[in-house]
Amino acid sequence: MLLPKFDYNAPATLDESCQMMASYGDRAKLLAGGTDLLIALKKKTLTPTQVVALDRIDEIKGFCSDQDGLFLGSRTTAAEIAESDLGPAGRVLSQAAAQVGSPLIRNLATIGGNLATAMPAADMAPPLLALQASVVLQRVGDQREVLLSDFFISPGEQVMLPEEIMSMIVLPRLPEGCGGAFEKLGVRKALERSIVSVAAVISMADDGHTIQGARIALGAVAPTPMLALDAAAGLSGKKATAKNFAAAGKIAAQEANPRGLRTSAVYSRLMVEQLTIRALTRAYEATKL
Amino acid sequence: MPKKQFDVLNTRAPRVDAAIKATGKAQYADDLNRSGQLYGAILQSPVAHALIKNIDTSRAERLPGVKAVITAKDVGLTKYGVSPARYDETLFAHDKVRYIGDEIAAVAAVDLDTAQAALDLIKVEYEELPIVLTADEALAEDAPQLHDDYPGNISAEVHQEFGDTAAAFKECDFIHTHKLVNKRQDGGFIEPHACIAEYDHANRLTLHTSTQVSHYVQRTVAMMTGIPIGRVRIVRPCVGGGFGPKCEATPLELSACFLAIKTGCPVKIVYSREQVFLHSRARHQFYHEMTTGFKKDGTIMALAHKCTLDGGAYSSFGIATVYYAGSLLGAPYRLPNMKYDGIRVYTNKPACGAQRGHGGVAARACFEQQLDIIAEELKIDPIELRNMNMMETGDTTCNALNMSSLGMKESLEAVKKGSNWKKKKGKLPAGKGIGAACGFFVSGAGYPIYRSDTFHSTAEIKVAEDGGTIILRSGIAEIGQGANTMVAMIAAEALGIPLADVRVDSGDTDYSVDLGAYSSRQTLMSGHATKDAAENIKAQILAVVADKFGMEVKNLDIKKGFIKVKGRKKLDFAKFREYYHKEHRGWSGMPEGDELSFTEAARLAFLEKGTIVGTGKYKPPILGGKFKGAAVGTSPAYGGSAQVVEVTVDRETGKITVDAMTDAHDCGLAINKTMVEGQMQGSLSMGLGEALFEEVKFDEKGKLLTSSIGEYRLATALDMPNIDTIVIESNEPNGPFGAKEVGEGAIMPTIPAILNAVYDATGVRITELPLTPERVLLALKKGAEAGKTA
Repeated sequence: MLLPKFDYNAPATLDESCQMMASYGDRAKLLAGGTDLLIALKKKTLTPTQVVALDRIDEIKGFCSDQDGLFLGSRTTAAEIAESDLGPAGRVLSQAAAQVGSPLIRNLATIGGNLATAMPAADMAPPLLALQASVVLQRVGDQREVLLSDFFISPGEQVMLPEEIMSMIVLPRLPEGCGGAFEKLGVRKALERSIVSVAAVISMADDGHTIQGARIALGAVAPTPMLALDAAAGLSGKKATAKNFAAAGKIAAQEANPRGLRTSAVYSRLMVEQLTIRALTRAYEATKL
Repeated sequence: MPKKQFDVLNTRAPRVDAAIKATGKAQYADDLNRSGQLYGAILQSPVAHALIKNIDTSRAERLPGVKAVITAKDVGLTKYGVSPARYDETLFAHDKVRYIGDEIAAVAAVDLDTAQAALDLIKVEYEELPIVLTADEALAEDAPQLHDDYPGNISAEVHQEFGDTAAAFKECDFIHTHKLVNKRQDGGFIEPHACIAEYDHANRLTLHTSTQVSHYVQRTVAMMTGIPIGRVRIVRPCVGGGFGPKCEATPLELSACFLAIKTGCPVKIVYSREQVFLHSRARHQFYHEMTTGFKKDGTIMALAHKCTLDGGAYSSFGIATVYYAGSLLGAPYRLPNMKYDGIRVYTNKPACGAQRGHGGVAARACFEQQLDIIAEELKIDPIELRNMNMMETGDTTCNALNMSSLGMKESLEAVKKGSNWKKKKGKLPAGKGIGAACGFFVSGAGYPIYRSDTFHSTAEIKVAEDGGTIILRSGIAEIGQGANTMVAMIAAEALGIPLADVRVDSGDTDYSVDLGAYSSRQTLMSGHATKDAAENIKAQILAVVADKFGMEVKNLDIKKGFIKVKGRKKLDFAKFREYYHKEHRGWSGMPEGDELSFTEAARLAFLEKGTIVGTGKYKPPILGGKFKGAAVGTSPAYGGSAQVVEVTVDRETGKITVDAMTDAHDCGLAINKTMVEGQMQGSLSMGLGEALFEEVKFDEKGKLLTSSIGEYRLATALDMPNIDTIVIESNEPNGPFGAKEVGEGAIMPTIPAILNAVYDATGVRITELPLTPERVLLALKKGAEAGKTA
């Protein structure tokens, strides 16, 4: 399969790339790691006349943190996230990043691309949803911050305008005593699209046993990555026990909306239940670290 | 029995192609380019079953840069395929298409972009027909028919009975029936098919192609193009794996040839990964049903076996496949009565063919589970049950296959010990299981694919005129498995020279006849031909030496590159050495010491007789019984294997993890131990993938869903446990230096060992592959409802 013809643009700054996107509009596609875009180009499911590569733009690479939270450049690779110590909150994200594709893919694939392609099974979406992340969308002379929970629309579709570029992912600082965990079920141990993935983040009260708050996010069981809000709400103020986690698993399974494409909906729900229990159990363990 | 000592064989010599492959210098078909070459592309049907009403290529022909467009009108309607008894394909569909991917036309253009653009300009009018996608649909009474010549969608049918199964069942204490269905598999080799064809003004056609079988490609190309076979030359560059699907002439190769003939320019065509899946010719889907009868002491009495193969749109290897699916159960256990009813049906999908363990893999997976089921029933350890019924060296099966060597008991014992079976079987914690299975396979098919008394392998060795090295020319297929290294080692051993002094040039039909890399034949057959050629060279050189120095040939030998003399008489070669030194005045590395070197002896032979060339040949003796289909399964020798697999089953998700694999394989003499282990490891990986992950899928219109190796799941390195590979070396009387197969037999026990281990872990038998988490969990739930779960 050959690539179709297109113009290749390699702007050096975010400003320059925003200018380009403003003038090209929906004739252009952004190229970050290319692990999805190049396949789509070869299959001709996308046919942009312009490709705007982001790899020269240093200001959207890497991460930093301050008292407000953690800021990840959109062009940070899955490998960098997997291998970095992002603090107690970021650990669940690192776990998910470590399960993206294979080492070759992780070296190229970016966190921004993983979100912007808006795939229901995107590995990094559930932990970011559970961490209450938002994304910063940049365009000429303007920027907006969108909560990730408001970002996805449908498979392959999100709220970005053609002239926008995702510059950053923002993770608010989590209270002390938080822990998170990511669970992914695939057929193989690598190069897998999740059958189901679950990320859980919980924060504990000072007594160390009572759950103050929880967030549970599910991948691959709805048209978009989603939060299991009822399952999480049900845990608030409860003790961190196997029984309560099991109850949360059941609720999460009901909240899931699997379409029964690659596995039956019945199985997907069962796995949401199991993986939610496992993720909560491990998240609780993590709070004690 | 004390083992013979070898100088070159039975070592871990590095592969002769290690350096070029490690440094990226190895050239594969797509690396080859010729000046003025054109690029080919093939138009394939977008519908699974339709009549072709019209093909209009005029717009494509007018596209600038297009040099030729060919259809059935240009290439004719000669039928071809694998077995001459079932030639059921034309190169291009002319009246109807039978699967999504069926070839209709090919284009050659100045570049690939133009060639592909031209495909879009070819207008084909279809009248769509109803389709059949499953074996059941194909066999239904009023099913749409694929081929006029093969009514009922039946591609091939086998009905055999050995002994008297009905009578034997009456004597049985236990009879059990078991079913298994696998899924269509893909070879999953790294290198997609690629080729470049060149045609010159002397009516000579040269095709460089990624193939396992240069010889059969040569025959098919000659037959299809009408060019005399002596003017058709097939050259195989480095090949990135084949596993069976590269065992026949492809539409890619034939299109390139016809386009090269029409344009007079070299034409290159390369399959995309999707086209590899569409060409397929890989593992069939098999529906097995087996009824096995036992005495209460554990003796196997009889097997009644029914099998349906979903073959896809054409026959390919299918006749052999349907026979193999039955005949390969004749061993390694004593089975006095066996009945087999096999049927291969046409469906509107890509054609299936041969893949590693041809025809026998799913059958073995079904049968070896039966042994465990009966062992449990009789409260006999499953390894013990196998041992009790195991054949021994010299035994002949009910379907007339002779086990001229059989290290099966040794293999079973080795995996039992190696896996610590006794400590584990029945004693593992919940969710963990251990399972065993055996298998065996041919060391080369007893007969060629077409009826002929041809030699199966010939080889030619030329001694370099300077005397220092030999050049081994052979038609063998080095496809990554190490065939070049194997023949180099055999030549070095047989001639008595260091491995480094052997150069192998192979895969060219100009060099020799060799049927190629299929049915695990090359070590035994090409090995024999090579040994024969090397011995011929040795005899020629020693004759000259004997003559020159007044010795008797029987007192001379060559070892480690030197002429050895038996008896008291010394070889008085001082004068010749002086001559040799003078001939090479100023050179370094001149022979010294008190032995005549092979280099000097070979130089002497050249000076006396001119260029020294020796040839070798091999064909098996007449093998097998006289019944219909008796040829399929015959072989001069059989490799055997045993395996123990340990698994963990996650009972909440259904996910299976293979924790350990202990594999023993009887390959006769291991020519190269590292390469034997490599074949064992590769076989286990392919078997594990088929057991747990792999499935070629289609939608309801027959469109391929798994068109990439992202969607089609091969086992990754992380899915493979560490493997303990134990090489068992029986002495095969029919093999060169006692060697036989390892390339395919090693896959046989993997799937049933996994299935038996899963049963051990869960108490549930799963009868459909692959063992995806969902399928396993549903089976566990069903088992729990039936109160069966362990």
